[in-house]
Amino acid sequence: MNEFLEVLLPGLAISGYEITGEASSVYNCIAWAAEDGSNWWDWHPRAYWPEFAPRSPDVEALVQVFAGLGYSICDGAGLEAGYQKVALYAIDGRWEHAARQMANGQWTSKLGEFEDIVHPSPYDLTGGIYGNVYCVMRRPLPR
Amino acid sequence: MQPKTQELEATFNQLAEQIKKDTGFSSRISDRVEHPAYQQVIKMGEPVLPLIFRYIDRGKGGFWFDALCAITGENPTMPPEQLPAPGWVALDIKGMEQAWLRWAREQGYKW
Repeated sequence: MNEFLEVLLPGLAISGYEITGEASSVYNCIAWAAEDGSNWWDWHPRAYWPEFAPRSPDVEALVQVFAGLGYSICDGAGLEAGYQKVALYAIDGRWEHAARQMANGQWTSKLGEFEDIVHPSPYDLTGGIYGNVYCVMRRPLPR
Repeated sequence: MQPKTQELEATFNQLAEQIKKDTGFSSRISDRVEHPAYQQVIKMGEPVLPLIFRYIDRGKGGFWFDALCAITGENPTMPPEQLPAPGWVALDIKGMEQAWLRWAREQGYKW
């Protein structure tokens, strides 16, 4: 997968990344960012989508998904003590991808129906098939 | 295997691989369903069903639910009375795959 991946997401070839999970069509990047490994979160009528957000490909609908999970838009993607962060990606107003920050500050992404990877920054995935980071959101970690 | 069956299988495998190559990195099911190769599979009609069932049974995924519904007119995983509300349906992909394979066996399909 690696060469193909680095063509589609050229930033990864520079930043480096690690494949950390097996390919699966059970869950996707949105589910993975929401810490759900059992459902495919998608606006498509046959997919799971939380009731508190409009079922839409519009990136603002995805913002509402994560707002419903307790996240709010924040300024930076750096590690902040006491907070968990997600980054949402879009092209022309349509959501394309979501990544989640891990406790060590690195980021984890599920790549469609392929593997999940760990990468240093959410910006490693920009400039390719997932477009650009639309926003970063954070929520307080449980005490 | 008959030559026509071999040709059908080769065409299906080629289309399925093309869909995965072009849309596998996407998290949107619609990218797959709207892909021309996916629409071509739907146009292959009833003869392609055993190939789709085999593909699913081998754990290769493929999000074939829209194609199966379009070809068969059936929807064994989501009868309307089980929908919580129009447009609000939770998808358990493995569960749907198993429901389709169960339906296919009941209909006498072999793959």
